[in-house]
Amino acid sequence: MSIISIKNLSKTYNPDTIPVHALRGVDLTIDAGEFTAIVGPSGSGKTTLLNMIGGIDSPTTGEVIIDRQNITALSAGELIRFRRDHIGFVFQDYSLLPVLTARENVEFVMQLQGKAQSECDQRVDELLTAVGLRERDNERPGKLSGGQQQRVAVARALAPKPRFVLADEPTANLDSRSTSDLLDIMNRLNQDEGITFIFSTHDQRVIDRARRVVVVEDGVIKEDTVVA
Amino acid sequence: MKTLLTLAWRNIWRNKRRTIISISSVFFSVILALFMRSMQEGSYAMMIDTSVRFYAGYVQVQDKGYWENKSINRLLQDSNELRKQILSVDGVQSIMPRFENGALAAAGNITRGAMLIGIDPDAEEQFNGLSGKLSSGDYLKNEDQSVMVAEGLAEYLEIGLGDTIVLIGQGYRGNSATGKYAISGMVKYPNPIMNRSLIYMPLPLAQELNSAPEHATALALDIESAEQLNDIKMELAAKLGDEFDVMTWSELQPELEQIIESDRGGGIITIGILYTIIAFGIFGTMMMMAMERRRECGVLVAIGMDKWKLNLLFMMESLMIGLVSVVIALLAGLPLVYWFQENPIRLSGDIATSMEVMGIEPIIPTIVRGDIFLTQGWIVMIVFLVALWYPLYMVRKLKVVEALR
Ligand SMILES: Nc1ncnc2c1ncn2[C@@H]1O[C@H](COP(=O)(O)OP(=O)(O)OP(=O)(O)O)[C@@H](O)[C@H]1O
Ligand SMILES: [Mg+2]
Repeated sequence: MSIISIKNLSKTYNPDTIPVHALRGVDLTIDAGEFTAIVGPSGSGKTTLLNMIGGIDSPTTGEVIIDRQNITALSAGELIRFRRDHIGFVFQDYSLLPVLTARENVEFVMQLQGKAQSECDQRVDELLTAVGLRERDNERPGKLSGGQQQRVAVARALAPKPRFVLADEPTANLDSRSTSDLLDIMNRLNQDEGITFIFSTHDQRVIDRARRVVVVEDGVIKEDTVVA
Repeated sequence: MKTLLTLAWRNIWRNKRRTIISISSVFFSVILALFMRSMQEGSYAMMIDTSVRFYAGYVQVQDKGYWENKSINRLLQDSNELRKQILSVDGVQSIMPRFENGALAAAGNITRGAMLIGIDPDAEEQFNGLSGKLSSGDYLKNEDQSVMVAEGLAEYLEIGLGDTIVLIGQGYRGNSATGKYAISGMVKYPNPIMNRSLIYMPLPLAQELNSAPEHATALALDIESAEQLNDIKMELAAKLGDEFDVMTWSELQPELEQIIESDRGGGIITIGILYTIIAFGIFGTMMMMAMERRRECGVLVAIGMDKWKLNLLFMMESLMIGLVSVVIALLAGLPLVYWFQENPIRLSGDIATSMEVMGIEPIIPTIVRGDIFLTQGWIVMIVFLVALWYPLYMVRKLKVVEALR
């Protein structure tokens, strides 16, 4: 069952001055439960593609359909709420709120949704345990290592039970030990709980852990391999 | 909501030094403004009080039309019913009947224009402690047949205590007002004009001299507090009807009101400049707070925070800094202003002398007035609201991808 369906997607930056064709007619379908890496050389269009899927940028042509909802047709406000309720984001630089504790960061989106505190508490306990940081839940990000912060960020992305998680180069700032820890966690969440992960990367060790590898080059999909 | 409040509160302490600088700059300007305004209003209150006490009273009731040319033929009947009606108005404390008339004062073959004031000595004493102006002799009693003369006038006429002064004037309805009176007291006024012209006599004597028993030119009123002035005037006017004019001190002494207004205006301009400078600082602070968090705002909107909530967050932060500054400044300002109200700064030297000449005590008192405090509070909060312009503008223009890049 596909949760993301992209048709003839293209994106041209600066169409009026010096046009940059970052994506040129991409078709892609992602099913629930995938663990997919988007790879390709620098400037190939990985970030652009993830931004389109995540609804934080709008395509020049084509459409992005998530669960039968054409998100390119949503208004700005609707799109924000759509992201809040259905899409999890993990950023390269973790991007936690520095003044909130790990626990508060994780429950933040649920708070935005207006969820009851008891529900938040339960979910946060569950997620922080899953990422191995249950004991550090009262630390602020500044007190945590990069790898730990990124694990909190994964927990934050999962808190509102999104349909899928998008991660643009989630391990680019991490050392190899933290990278493999993070991948272990993501993998387990994917296997045990069926959470769909889509991440971009340059790192061969990360690519090796993916179960589907989509290679983007010059704004088009060059290869799409499902690893056994 | 609670999350936003927590977030806002912690955000303002992210850059402690900057927030403390903002708070201090507001603190010092509010203290300064409070002090300046309280001192201004304190001085005005004192000026008004001094001049009102020895001259007009806070409110005067007069016969309709008396004030225009102060005609001796427009007297009011000082009746018990009238007094009862006046005293029934809330806030009116006492009534000082006054009988004022110009007269020619003569002694031997020297003459001079003088201002004759018939008074109720006891009421006057209560209101302004008139006996304090006595330099020799005795203070008047209501049944006395003698007068108190200002020293300057006595000197000019070359007379003293126990001598006789002759008054020649025009009384009620064309009667002549001529009499001969012993001088039982001398008063001394620092104000040269008053010192050169005043003659006090008991009201019954003045009425008799002017052939107008039971009449007066005005009933001056003392009131409980200056703030009630306009209410009292309105109520009196309504109660007494159009046979009478009810005038406040500012209508009776428009010059004083004008001096105060222009001085107050000057002070307000100074404070306006002060707050404008502070406003630029606050504006800059809020601008920095927004700009350095542009990426973070992008993340927040990306993960699903509505822009209006982001706006609300900035608004909370701005108002929190404002509120903290204002509360600290007003709490610190209160005892300060209060202390200088109780222990006013005393002037010395030439300024002191010239103030004394004007009949004003040479001190600069402050006054504790709620509205002055509130005004500073409002101004600061408005400054912090206006300073939100940049953060709100930034949020409106914010594009997630650009902010994240
Ligand atoms: N806002 C923008 N304006 C103009 N050009 C852009 C913009 N964003 C990206 N590009 C261009 O679009 C192309 C694709 O960029 P994109 O960031 O998607 O690549 P990427 O695969 O994520 O690269 P990297 O591996 O370096 O992150 C590049 O040529 C880039 O320079
Ligand atoms: Mg990229």
